[in-house]
Amino acid sequence: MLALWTIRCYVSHTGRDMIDDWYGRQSDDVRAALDVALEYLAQRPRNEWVRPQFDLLSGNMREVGEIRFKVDKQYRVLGFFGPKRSEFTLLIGASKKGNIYDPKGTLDTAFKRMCEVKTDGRSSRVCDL
Amino acid sequence: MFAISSIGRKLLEKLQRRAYRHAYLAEHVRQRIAYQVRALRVQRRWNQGKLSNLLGKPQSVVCRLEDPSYGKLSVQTLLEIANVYDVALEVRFVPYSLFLQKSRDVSPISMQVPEFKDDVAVRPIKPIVVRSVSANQDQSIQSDWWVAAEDDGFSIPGTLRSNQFAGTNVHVH
Repeated sequence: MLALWTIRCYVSHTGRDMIDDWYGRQSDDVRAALDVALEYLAQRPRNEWVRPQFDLLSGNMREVGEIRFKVDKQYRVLGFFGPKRSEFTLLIGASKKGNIYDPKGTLDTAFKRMCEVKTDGRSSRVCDL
Repeated sequence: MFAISSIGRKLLEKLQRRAYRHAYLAEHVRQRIAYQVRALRVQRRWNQGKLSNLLGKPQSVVCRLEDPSYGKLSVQTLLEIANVYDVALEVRFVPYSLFLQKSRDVSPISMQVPEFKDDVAVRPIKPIVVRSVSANQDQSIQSDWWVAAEDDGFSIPGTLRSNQFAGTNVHVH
């Protein structure tokens, strides 16, 4: 039961763990679904991060992937592999209906946060959900 | 006894809430089934088409079986899957402490299960020499009986797996 990945969470300039904030607003059903999804993915090599549990985005967003799960509706937690080896950083949590993320601008936010994390080591920390 | 310290403090706190606990259990069961249906298929080097043929169900059903979001499987379906993979199925109610202990390891290797023939099946070894120990006789005999191989990690040392010799203590050479 060796975890292959350290799961990190995005931290804002003001020091707020934005994933923990999002997580705290979710129901127990959503929290449990994400917790278990992370447990399984953390013990899997990169080539087993595949659909339906995970998928990489495409185009300019191809470095960003999303953890996928359904509770009452579809949920996505976007993140990327990094900033260091064997790390996966969660950037933003969202629900999704069709191709529409809630909150709006989820993809742009994810991309900006990924750039921050890559350039500033203080922009993420090990998740403690 | 399960060392409760082996799970995280945060998880332990969340599990105190009934709603979270039930959701966590349901999610683990769904994920385990979905991951394991896929892992067993990959272990056997089957594609989804082959599994759907063996199950006698459309490939779309196999896709659903491997999707933890689906989670509406009947025991009958689980038994059909077990039969196709020729593995056993265990469905039982257990205390949370046991569930937590068993659910810590969700690695790919933990999902794999050998089929019966690689597990406990009796295999032919011909000829074999059987020496009776219980009778304390130093008499070797030739036999064509099927016995479990000593190196398969399953046989009980000194016990011949044969109806003919049931209950007889022997050494298998």
